[in-house]
Formats: sequence, C-alpha cells, structure tokens
Amino acid sequence: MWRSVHRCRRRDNEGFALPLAVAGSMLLLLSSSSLQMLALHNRTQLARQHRRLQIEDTLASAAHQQIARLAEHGSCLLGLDQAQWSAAAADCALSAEALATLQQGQVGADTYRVAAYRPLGGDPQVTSAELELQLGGSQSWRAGFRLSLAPAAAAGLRVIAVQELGLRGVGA
Amino acid sequence: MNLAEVIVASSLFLSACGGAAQIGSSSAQAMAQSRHQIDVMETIEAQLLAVAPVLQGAAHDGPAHDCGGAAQWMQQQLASALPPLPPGVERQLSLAAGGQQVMLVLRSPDGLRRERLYSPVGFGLCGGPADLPQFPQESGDASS
Repeated sequence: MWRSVHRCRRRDNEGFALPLAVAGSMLLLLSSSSLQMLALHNRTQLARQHRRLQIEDTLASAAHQQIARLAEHGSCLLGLDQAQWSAAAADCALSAEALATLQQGQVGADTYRVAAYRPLGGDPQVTSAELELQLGGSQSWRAGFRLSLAPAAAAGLRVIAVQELGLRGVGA
Repeated sequence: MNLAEVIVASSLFLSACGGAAQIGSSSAQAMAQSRHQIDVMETIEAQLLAVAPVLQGAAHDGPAHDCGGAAQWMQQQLASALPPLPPGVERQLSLAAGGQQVMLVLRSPDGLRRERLYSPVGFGLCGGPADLPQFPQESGDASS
C-alpha cells in the first residue's frame, strides 16, 4: 500500500517542471518584448516630432524669405488683402508674371506658395497682417505668421516683427 | 519529475532568461538614447527660441536700410549672444541669399539637424524708408 501511494505522488510530480519553465519563459519574453515595443514607439514618436519641427523650420524660413521679397519688390502690397494684389500690382510696378513669382518660392529643396495674406487693423492704419504659407509636394503643410507692420514714409508699410502662429495642418 | 524533464525545462528557462536580458538591455539602451535625443532637441529648440529676443533686444543699436549690413550685424549678434551649446552639438551661422539673410544650422552627432533662414527684414532691421542710417559695416564670417 505504501508503495502504491508513493507511485501516485511521483505521477503527480511528473510533468510539473516543463510547463512551469515554459510559462516562466513566456512571461519573461513577453515582458521584455513589451519593453522593446515601448522603446520602438518612443523612437518613432521622436522621429515624427523631429520631422514636424523640420517642416516648421522650412515654413519659418519661407516666411522670412517671403517677407524679404515682399519688402523688396511688393511693399505696397503689405497693406492689402491677397485678393486685391492682382488689381494693385500695376500701381506697384509689378507685372502679372512678377506678381505670380512673388507669391511662390523655394527654400532648399522645398517649394512653397502664399496661401493667404490678410491685413489686420483696418483702414486707415494697418498695424499687422496674417501670412499663411503652404508647402508644395505630397504633404502640403500650411503655417500661419503674424506680421507686425509700421508706417514707412516712402514705401507705405514695413515689417517690424514676425510671429509664428504654428502649423495649420495639411492643405488641399 | 525525471532528470530529462529537469534538464529540458532548465535549459529552456535559461535560454529565455538570456534572450529576455538581451532584449531588455537593448530596449534600455534605446530608451536612454531617446532621452538623450529629447535633451538635445530641447537644447536646439532653446537656441531657436532665443534668436528673436537676442535680435529684438539688440535692435535698438541700429535699424538700417542696408539689408546686407543688417544681416552681417545679425550674424555677429547671434554668434555672441546665443546661449552656449552642450558638448557635441554644433552651431553654424552663415550669410545666405547673397549676404542678405542669415542661415542658422544646429546639428548633433546622432543626426538631429535644424536649420532656419532669418531675414533682417523680419526683425525690422532693414527694408524700411531710405533715410535710415547705414549699419556699421563689419566683415568676417562669424561662425561658432
């Protein structure tokens, strides 16, 4: 009888180590895999954030370039809405081609265009304006900029400060 | 429980431990690298955010009509007044667009790179009426 009880206990203990090892191993591998997933997710998020910052840089550079070109070639347009630029171009000694060129540009490998320009503050004194630029290419990111304007004797208005208003998503 | 089962189970568990330790250490390394990259990105962002205050604070020294001179002045102001960089991060300031604008490039050894173009017109330093005084012309490529 004592022998049969002992055999029974031995049968209960058989096959106990292997399932325990498998379960422990699975647990270890799963937890380390989830750590790795977290690290990969972090890296992807960082890469995406860096790309977004680079887009902001491109658009901010484009804004400075555009403002410099407006100051040089179209300072009389600074007080007018973009919709009025075509009508006012002749008064500013700008041809239709020159006006079209003035509304687009290139920073590095990226092209951009003026998506909108709205003076703020109203007549007679325009004190600021909102400039919206859109990148060319497959992802046409847009960004807004607030220009502070001051009266200038000869040229009408001049830019005294630029404030970034941030990205406004992807344009149509 | 026989000897064969114990050997198989222990070798399985040990190899899983080894694999998990390897994956864990590479994950920890990647997380530490990400943290370092975040620190570098913040430092670079701080540099870019400091540009406008540096120039606006110094703008009283001499608004001018000459954009080339204003760009040179901007380059020198930024080279001297931007906050110091942590080791490894590089800053390059150069004139662009025929000397009418300033290009600021910031990069780290692990591949982070930010670059911005600044026009003196955007800070009210030039592009105004023709009767403004000329900037004192200072030559030299101020890179740091």
